[in-house]
Amino acid sequence: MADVSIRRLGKQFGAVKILKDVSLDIADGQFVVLVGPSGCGKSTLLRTIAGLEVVDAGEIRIGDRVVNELPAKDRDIAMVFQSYALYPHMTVADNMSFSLKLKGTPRDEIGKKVARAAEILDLGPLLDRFPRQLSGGQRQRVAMGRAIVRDPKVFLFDEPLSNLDAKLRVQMRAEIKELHQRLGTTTIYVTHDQVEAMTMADVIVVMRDGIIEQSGTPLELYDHPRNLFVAEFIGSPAMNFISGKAGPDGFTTDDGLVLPAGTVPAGVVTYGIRPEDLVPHSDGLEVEVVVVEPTGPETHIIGRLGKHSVSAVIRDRIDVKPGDRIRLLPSAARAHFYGEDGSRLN
Amino acid sequence: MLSRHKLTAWLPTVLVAIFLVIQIFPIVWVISASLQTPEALARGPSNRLIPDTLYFGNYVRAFETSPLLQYLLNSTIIAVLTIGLTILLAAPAAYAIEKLRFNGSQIVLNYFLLGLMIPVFVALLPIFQSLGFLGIRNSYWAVVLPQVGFQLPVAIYLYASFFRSIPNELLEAASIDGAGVFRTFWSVAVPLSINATITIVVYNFIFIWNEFVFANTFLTSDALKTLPVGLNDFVSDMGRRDYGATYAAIVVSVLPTVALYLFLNRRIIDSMTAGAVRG
Repeated sequence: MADVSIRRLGKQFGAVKILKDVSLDIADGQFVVLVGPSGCGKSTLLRTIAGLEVVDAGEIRIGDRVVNELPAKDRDIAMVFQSYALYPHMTVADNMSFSLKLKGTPRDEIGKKVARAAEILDLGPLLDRFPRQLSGGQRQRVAMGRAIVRDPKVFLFDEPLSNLDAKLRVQMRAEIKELHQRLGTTTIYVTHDQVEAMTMADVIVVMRDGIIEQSGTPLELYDHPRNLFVAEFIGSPAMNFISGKAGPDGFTTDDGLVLPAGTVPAGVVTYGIRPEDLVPHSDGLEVEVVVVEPTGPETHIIGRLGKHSVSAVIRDRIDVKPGDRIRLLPSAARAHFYGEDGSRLN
Repeated sequence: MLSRHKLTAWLPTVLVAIFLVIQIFPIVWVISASLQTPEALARGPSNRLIPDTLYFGNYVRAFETSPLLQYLLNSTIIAVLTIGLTILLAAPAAYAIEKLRFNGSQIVLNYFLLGLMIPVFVALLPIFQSLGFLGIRNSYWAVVLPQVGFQLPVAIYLYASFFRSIPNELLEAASIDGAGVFRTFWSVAVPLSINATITIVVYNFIFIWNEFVFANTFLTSDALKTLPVGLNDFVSDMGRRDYGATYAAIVVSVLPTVALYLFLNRRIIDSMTAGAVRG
């Protein structure tokens, strides 16, 4: 196990800057999720840590070693790829033991390590099979097994669940988290799925256009997103944004509606409210229902508040249909305010 | 009248059948002729495709009147050396071009492909002089080296196309596992390229086995003659020909190619269709 420290990292492909002065500290044993839209640089950041891309500027430190110049094999990391990257011509056991053989590990020790990893991941009966004979979930587990046997200082995961179906993804998410709790190895995990980030991470790092927009615990990011981008990216359904300005009784929208908001900071132009913070109430604002999405435990409603489209998550059962009008009250204490430049004001 | 639907369903089958007959008929005819008595052969076109009795005397004469076994051995040595050397050079070259991402790798590939455009006859005299300069004229290497040179462009092209289809993540996984460039090539890329290798072996073997120009030009010793050159032995000084023995020798010379193809047929088809569907 080791901490990872990244200082002022820069990387560009041709004229395009992919990573711009990125700095990040990852504590020993932490599970850090890098999240962001396609092209934000999260996978490139992971690949530079792995040693699969050469950095143009800055420093990467794993434990007490600066690893910029070290090849991937000497960084004491293990990586799980999106496509699993299992060697198709090797059995599961050979896939898992390949790195140990290259290291010159004695045969009986290899056997013990593979058996231990197989036990942890429930791969025992599959050791003699080839990757083509395995399901997607089993292949994913083998890829993790290959990482575990190396007993690395840092685990790197590059969108490992994106090839799995929704049900298996939820199951594997739990397995990876359990594995981390069991092994306690520092883990850096890349995903574009913010639900994955929220459910798995100790720390989430939100990236956009090669910079870190915000990092913090999942609930810090959810409750206090630093800017409009993070506010919109974290949370599903996404936060509602309504444009307007500060008024004498709260926040006045562009079309003259007044939203209860406590103290509204000066200079605010965007009011944000999470869908679950719009609650049905007789004192609420009138919303015309456009779409109703019952999910079982809750009902998602998309509607129109004046000229603005809003979504609400109602925890109690509610009997509404498109075209109905309901009253939703925004929680004044949970309003988010953003200025002209998109940065948070409260 | 046949409906349009039936016609389109049958047409490809009929065309393939016609093509097959055109391809196979000469082989069947030579095999049949090699098993007929000299008298039956002397009757000319009236002789039957399926002989009344199987006569193996032609084969006995073919081996007795000419050093056919020596020619077979020479052809085999030259084929094995040429194919071995071609693969030994083409596979790492193509791997470097496709997977090591150095500046100008595509230019290097195009440079190799230029070799496809050089006719053998244009290069004959310079190669003749070069072999003399190296002192290897009239040796196996005099045929092996030029053939390797002419086979390399296709082999590199085929390997490069195959290596392109190997996901980079697989090679990156190997490098994280601790494999260097050569180990990744040897332990991951080479085992995966087995079908491409077999295709190259068979494709090149047919050319090398039938090669006449280099063998006829650069080898003057009878002891080094290859099968295609050796077949000339069956024409006597006055132009008389022992047709039975000639046909038998032709069958002997064709058999290894057919056997190799039949043995590796499935792998070649697999390799030709690799990547056509998601695995």
